[in-house]
Amino acid sequence: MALEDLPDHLIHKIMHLLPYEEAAKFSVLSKSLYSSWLSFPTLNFSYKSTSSEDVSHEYQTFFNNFQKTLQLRGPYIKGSLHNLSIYYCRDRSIVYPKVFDALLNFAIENKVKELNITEPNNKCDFYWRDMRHLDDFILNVNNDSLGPLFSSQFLTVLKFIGVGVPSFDAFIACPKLEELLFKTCDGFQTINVSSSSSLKKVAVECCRGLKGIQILDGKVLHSFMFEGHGIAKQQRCALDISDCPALRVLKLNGKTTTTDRWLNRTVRDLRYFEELKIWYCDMLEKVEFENYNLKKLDLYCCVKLKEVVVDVPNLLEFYYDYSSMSLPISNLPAKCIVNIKFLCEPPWISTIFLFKRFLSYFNHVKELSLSYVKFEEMIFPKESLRYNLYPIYELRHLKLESLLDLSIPSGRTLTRVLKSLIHLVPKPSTITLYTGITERISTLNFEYGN
Amino acid sequence: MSSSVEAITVLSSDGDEFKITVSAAKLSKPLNWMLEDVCFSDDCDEVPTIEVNSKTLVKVIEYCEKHAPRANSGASDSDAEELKKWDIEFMKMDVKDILFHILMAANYLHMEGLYDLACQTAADLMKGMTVSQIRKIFHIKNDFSSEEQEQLRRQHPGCSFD
Repeated sequence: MALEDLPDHLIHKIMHLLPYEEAAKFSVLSKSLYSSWLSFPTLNFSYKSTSSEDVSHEYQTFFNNFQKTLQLRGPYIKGSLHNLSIYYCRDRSIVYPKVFDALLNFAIENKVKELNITEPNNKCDFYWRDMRHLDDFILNVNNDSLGPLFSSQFLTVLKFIGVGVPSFDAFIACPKLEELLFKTCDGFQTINVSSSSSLKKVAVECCRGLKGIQILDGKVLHSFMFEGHGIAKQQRCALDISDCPALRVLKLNGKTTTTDRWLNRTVRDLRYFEELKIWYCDMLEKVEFENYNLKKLDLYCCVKLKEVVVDVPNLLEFYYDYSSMSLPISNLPAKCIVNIKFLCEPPWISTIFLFKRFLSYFNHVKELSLSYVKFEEMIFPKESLRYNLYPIYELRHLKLESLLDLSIPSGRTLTRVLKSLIHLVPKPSTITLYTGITERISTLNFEYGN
Repeated sequence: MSSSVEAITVLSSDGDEFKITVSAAKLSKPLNWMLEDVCFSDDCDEVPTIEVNSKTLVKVIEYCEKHAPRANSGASDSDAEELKKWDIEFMKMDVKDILFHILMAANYLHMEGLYDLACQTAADLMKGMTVSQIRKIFHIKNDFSSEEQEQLRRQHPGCSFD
């Protein structure tokens, strides 16, 4: 039996497992495989910028090829389009309205299941995204064409990266929708999802001007992720995910209307909750909730946060930053691994007692990991070594991570780092040093006689 | 089905008899349905036929027997790792001779694991290969006329025929 003797759906499955460019090779292998290729229900278009200066010609060629492909393969795909993806480039400010309209019409007519409009190199980084000119690489679309898409009966995956609309409230009601991603999209005022009871995953990242997200009837939603746009001048986004009882993962990063009460109310009744991450939330003052299943808790740079009172008996990982030195944390279970980030500045002599007292809250945990920018920042000033206040006697496993060092320290630096660590944790079983960038790891084992 | 039966007998499309344990047969939905059928009770001698040739059926049964313990009880990570290695060895077979027969059989017998494995094996054989290499691996004859090739070349500017 030969490849060509297989029924089309098996050939399509093999094509599906290959990168699109490689799957396209089927079209030139033989006549019979060419016809299998025509009906392959996946269409990808990548706009590849050449070095040519004539951008409008380049665009015209792309558009012509795009239309030809739709005309050629459309009749064979006939309303069973599995995946339609367009990857465009942000290097050039090109407007694509014609492509987008043709794409959406084709997608809707052929009952598309997965639609990706993606800028493949898109990064969403807190430090540089405020500086760049977002408009240069936004795909501008007319909101009329979005209506039918947002109420499609067939859509299961929708990913928009870098799509811009004139000021628009998106109302999405797709009964089969499972995954929704909006990233660096511009112009959406609010995103409202309803009647999408298959929805499992929602991510909204860096959408400028977004004022609110509401998810109604998210019966099986298990992951919700929000990241704000920029730091300084971002719009505060209101989140309503109170109707999502199956939530497992909740990640919020940036300005939201998340208050103490909102968090408590949202998290309280989640029976399957496993992971909570809250970064840069400037309204939160006290994190207080009980959750039996929570495994991972990550709080970072919440500047007003003063207190964390959580009852999470099954927590395995706790991430925190050392910005508020007198943070009382109660009830961390002993099986927990704690990671404390020190990204602002090392604690100096005046605050070293507070620092040690802070760390003594983690006396009983399974492993304590301290992340610094450089290993040297862990070295305590000599004077502070004289007073052995708040040593962590119970802790057995200590890890020290450096975010910028490329290698494990040696010589005198190593001695001084270890001296400070032993001062803090007098009876360790292991001390591990780790470099974040180069992933070097070195572990020291301690054995004690009776 | 009587609980005393531990293995069942099936016929291949070539008419050869094969034994397959009950737990292994459960990997296939249609075989599982057959198991529930009366014809496997002790007092029945009718042997069902599976529309798969002998050579392929040997391999399919080998796969089922290997995977059955894990599928039925769940397994540790080290077992899963071992099984993965076994799968790779198992899939080292002649493409023209048997790979696509296995794929068809897995499809016919609704065996998801074997189906995915066979498709992945075929895809991996193509990855990074040129068109002429793929033709050679899968014994595909280039039946395009030179005019047709020219036309295709225009359609797929990025795709080489060689």
